[in-house]
Amino acid sequence: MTECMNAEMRDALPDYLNGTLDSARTAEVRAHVAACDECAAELELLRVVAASAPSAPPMDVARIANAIPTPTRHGFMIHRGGGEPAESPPPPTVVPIRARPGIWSRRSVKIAAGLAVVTAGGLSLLVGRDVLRPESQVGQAKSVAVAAVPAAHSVSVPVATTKAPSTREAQPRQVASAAPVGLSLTDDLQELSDEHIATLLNEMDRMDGLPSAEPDAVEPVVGNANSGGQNQ
Amino acid sequence: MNPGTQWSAEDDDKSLIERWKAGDPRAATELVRRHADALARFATSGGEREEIEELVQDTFVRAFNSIDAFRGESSLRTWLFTIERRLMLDRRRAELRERNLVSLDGVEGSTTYDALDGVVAQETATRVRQALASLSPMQREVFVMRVEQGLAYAEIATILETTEGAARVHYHNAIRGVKEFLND
Repeated sequence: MTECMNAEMRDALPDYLNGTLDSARTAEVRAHVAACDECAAELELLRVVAASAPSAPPMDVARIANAIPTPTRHGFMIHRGGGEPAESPPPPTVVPIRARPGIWSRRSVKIAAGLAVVTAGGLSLLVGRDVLRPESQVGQAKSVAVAAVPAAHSVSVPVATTKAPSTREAQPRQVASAAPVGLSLTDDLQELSDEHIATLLNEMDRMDGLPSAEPDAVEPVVGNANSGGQNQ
Repeated sequence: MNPGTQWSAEDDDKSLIERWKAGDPRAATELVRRHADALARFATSGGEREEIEELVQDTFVRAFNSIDAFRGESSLRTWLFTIERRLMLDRRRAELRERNLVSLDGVEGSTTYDALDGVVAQETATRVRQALASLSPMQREVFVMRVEQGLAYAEIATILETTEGAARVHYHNAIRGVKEFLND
């Protein structure tokens, strides 16, 4: 059996057979088939194939539709139950659309909150101890805090002789460089009496109650107290 | 829509789906009325012989339970064919398991065409079905969808999850195979 070389027409034969072409295309194919023995034979073969297809049984529309779930306002898919089917159909799939049980999420939130409280409390205790410990590492931070208080509260002695930082980014480094000599309050912390140290610590404790501020936001006190805190 | 109102041809499948989502069960009934027979023919063309209505019903139930997955890129009928074909494959796999066949190789090629001899009396028709049974599974599916269902290559490609060009090649190879079988 030979084949027509017009692939476009051959492709259209099943559509012609099933009547899915528009009228113009149908007329075109019909004319081609009338003049082409190969396509006429192929079309006949397709007719036999289609005719040999086993017939499908009639469908019970109501029975099938009865098994289809229906959405509700609350998002649930339920069986309509509108009449008994002729035969017992397989149970419809019921898919409740709802939030998952929240017990785990609630419990996890409680645990997380508890851990956060314990962690925050522990950290605050550690910070509190560091404030009271007169060591150089702690002093680095405290020197900045001391600089933040008004001049009347500042008992600082103008010992920091480093030049004022040209940029804000350099400020923490400048303060830190002065720290090894001790709080930048005096030449030697060892020269302070116990009473002075106690007074300083009390001042620091009171400063803990002040609103926190970033060290960068404060102009460092590195010069004479009489200079009003202005550098150079 | 008031009770008793007939659905018009202008009520396309998408609008019926929206009505069903809004809680109107009659929209689902109309969709079943429109597509149930085509699904039954599709099943029989694919070799199903038993419990066709159950298969069609399962197809609709599964489709409506996952209706949000239907994005309208193909027609609803094509999408239903896709679901039904998967259910048919599931059936055949289950049948194979029941027969204690370990290997699932060639599952899609396992059809009941070879059992058609007793069903189709006419000799020519029998020969045609035998010719179809001699094709590869993909060739047969494409050929049957194209000739018996009248589906376009694009629809066939969607259902079989292949390309339109591949579907066209399978069709032409299939008709060549059928001709050769019948000429032997």
